[in-house]
Amino acid sequence: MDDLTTIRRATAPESEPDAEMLGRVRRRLDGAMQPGLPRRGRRSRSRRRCRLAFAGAAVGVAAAVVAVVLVALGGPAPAPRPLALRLVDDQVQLVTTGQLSSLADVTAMACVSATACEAVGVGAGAVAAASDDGGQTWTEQALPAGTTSLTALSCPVAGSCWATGTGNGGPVIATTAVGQGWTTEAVPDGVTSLASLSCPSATACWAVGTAGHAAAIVDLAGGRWVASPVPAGVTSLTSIGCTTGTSPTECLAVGWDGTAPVALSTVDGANWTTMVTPAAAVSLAAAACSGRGGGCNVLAGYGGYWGEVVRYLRWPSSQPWGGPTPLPPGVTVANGTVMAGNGKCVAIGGPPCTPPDAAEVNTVEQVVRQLEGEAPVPPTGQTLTSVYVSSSITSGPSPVWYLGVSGQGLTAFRVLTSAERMGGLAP
Amino acid sequence: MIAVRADGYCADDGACIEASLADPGRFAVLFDRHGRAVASYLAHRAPASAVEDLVSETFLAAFGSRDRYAAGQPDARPWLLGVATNVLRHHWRAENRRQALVERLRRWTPDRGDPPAEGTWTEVERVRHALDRLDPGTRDAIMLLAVADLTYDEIARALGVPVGTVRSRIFRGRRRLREWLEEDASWTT
Repeated sequence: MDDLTTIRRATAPESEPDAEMLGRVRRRLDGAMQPGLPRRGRRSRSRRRCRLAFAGAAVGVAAAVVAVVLVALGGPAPAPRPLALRLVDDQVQLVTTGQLSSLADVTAMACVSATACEAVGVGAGAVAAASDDGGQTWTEQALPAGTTSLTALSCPVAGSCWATGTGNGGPVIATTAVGQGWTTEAVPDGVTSLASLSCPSATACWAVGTAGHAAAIVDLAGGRWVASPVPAGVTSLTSIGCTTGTSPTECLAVGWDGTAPVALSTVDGANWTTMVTPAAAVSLAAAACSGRGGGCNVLAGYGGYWGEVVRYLRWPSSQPWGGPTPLPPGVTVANGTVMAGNGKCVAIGGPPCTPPDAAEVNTVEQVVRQLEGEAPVPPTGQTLTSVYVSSSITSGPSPVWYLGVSGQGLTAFRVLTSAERMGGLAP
Repeated sequence: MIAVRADGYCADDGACIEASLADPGRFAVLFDRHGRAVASYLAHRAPASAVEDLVSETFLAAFGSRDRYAAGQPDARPWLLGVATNVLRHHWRAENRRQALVERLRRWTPDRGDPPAEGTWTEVERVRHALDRLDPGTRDAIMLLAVADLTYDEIARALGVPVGTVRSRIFRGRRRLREWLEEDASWTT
């Protein structure tokens, strides 16, 4: 008897999982997959335990803070609407914004200023919405017929955006310009999916994805999208970032070659070369770049989908990798990075029991603070019933945005700017 | 190529997952195709009382991270087993903390029986003990090979490591298991 058979026999369960148990799990999963269902309705027992752990740790501080919040609200019961949270002045503060009501999942946001933002997501179909008041209100925008999802977005200047997603059985590139509605642009033949894009200017834009079982890079060259040659062996590209305000523009894309993570770079936008990847990384989850020497970061993972996460800095691309810079303790999930114009890098993620449906908005704040390298704070504020960080967000100047869900539906969050912290929020 | 037909049928797992981004219900087909395999794998690695929750956690976690599924991969089983492996790690971390607490409490309850001495272990207990002695990465690779019947390439996908690492882990792990089991066998002789 060989050793693998021995292992199988020694670890054999008393009984194999039966159809009844699988049926129960299937029903639980069905409940979780309903579009738009608030997270609190889909918790499993383990997640509830996680929630209880958070809540238990929070209970002492939360009671005091709830009292403060209730006083601030002027009543005993929080109104069921998004609320601005004004906490201690010298701490990171979050403000919730207007609801993006029809979105079942917000997938990307781009803000070119503190007031002008665009968001895309997936609801019954693809959804796009714009805000010109810093997220206080959102206006939905019409999308071309047949667009089923938009999952990546880049807006180099106000009102001018590109987004990638799916529609009519294939990949879609949609664009909008100032004063014009969304339209789709022709995707090069053979491209089967587009996962990420980066547009450093209104005339320069790159998107990455797959072409069958190989990776694809498409380049907005001369006003139309063309496929760029991809180094042999790269099977998929999942994230791309390009520098802004630099000459030349540099782009960095990350993906997979079937057995290992890969990173590609270009300095002319047409010729992509394979970079040496950080030695210890087993996956490269995301790439993000800033302008004016701020560099490009990649978020690297160890040990699979929930491995340890670090970030590496490389700038310019001819230089060795800097880092790794460990993310704060407890953050083991990260699904995206964002580079603000000042070179600040923020990763979105959290502890293993994310989505942090535990202590509501508190957990988002905790995660945000952890990711920014600050000490976690005790949970504060109980005004929103459920929050999770769904994806990362924006490029351009501050504020940095976070996406989540409140008791009512999906909500965008942002960290207050220094000026706002000093001057208080607009009513 | 249209990967997802108008009636909702998706030919491969990658297409189903991509379609589920717009229509979350499409993800259910992943459970229908691979739920039993994932449950069986978890049943080999966790107590029966925990399996149902672990299967749920695995598919909920996979559902929540489906936007990060590597495009172009038609078979999601290695990915799902990788997610299951991570769910197991979190489960065992929590379980170890709980056991540590139980152990501390046990010191104050001397009437509770001690675990059996090593020399009286059955073969099953010896194999399980030897597996426990492996480092987690090696143990995961061995179990995905022995229990889930994944290929080396698929194990690499599941664990997010290069296939060369999988080969060396499995080679090293099998050698250690043999050595330890031969040593253990001498206890009872």
